[in-house]
Amino acid sequence: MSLITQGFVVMFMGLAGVFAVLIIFYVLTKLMLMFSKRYGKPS
Amino acid sequence: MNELVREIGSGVLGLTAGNLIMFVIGGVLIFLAIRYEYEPMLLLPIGFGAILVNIPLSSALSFDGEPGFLKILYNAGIVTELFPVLIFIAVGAMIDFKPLLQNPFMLFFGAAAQFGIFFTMMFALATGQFDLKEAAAVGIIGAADGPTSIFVASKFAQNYLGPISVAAYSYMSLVPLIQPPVIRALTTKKERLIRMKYAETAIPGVVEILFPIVITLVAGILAPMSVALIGALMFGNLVRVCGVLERLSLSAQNELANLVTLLLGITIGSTMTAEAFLDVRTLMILGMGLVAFVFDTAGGVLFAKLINLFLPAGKKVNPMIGASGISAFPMSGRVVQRMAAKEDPGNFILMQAMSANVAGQLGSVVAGSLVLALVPIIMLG
Repeated sequence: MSLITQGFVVMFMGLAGVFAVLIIFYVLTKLMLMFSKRYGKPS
Repeated sequence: MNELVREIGSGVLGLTAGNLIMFVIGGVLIFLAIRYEYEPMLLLPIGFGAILVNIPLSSALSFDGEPGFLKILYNAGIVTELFPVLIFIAVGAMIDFKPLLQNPFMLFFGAAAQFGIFFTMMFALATGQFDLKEAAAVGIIGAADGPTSIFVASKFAQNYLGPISVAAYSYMSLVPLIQPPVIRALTTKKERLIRMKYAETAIPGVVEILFPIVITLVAGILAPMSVALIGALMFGNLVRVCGVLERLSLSAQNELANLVTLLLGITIGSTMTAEAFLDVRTLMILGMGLVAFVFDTAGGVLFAKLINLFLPAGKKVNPMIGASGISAFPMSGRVVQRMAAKEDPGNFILMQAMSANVAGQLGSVVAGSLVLALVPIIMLG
């Protein structure tokens, strides 16, 4: 693989990876908020 | 007597033009730190370290064959990556994730605003002056996060640790100058006037506590390379939010942050020898740092405009929020709010901007971890 091709691979996988991980964080955050609302102590 | 003269004369006779130029550069960094308060906590120690290390036969580097204190600090804190990790603990203790937990959707802007990292990496590769690891280390300036930049640079490009750190911290302090023109160029007045509703919701304490633990576990399992960075960040945050470690939290935010910053700065400065720094590639790195910040801003803003295509009227996002997805907290959020208020004094998008800004801190650490993981694999393949 040429250097530029390697760079493109890192770029696309990197950006996709950042979005994928933050989507997972988003889902986890929503789940945590949902469960705490449902099962948490009333204030 | 001859020995004495030789000892005193060696410093003077050993001075080169390069040393003198580095004295000026160190002085400029100190001047910028004091006069204009450009990230003084880092730039002043870096500037002074650069002066120390460029004095001929400096005992700060070595003396009688023994390492000097700067070499010891470098081996203990930079080569081992200990200093940036300790800073991450301190940063984690300073971060309040509540705005993000109230608005988790802002996480996506924290992702989009990392575009500049990868674009700059490609730019660096295109110059033909850097290999993939070095280009990735230059690109990571776009993380707009000092410890991440230092962590990646110390793994991939120790030769360029000095200019990469100087670029990262300098451009972070210049965010109020860099971002507004880019935002104005990519948005219309109508878009900048978009108002966003904000409803403050109470975040249960248990979620604040679970967040750092869950994020560390998930990120670590998906990308083990990220555990050092994300783990340290989230450890600091857990100490802050658990409610039972007030003293440790305050120590992490203050004493730990200040001590490590002090040592980190002067140690980074110690890498800025004339031979290492006075290279055309240093100027290129300083220039590419600006490219990174510009394209981070552009990436965030354009992503927000893309999202708006799918959102109904009345629920659209002010695209300026995308710009605050970079990790320069809280400066970027404040810049965006200032721009919004300038267009419409009644437009208050600070909380959304801060949410995106906090998301950018997470996004930058994730991006840095992915770069660290991907580059060696791609180079092997």
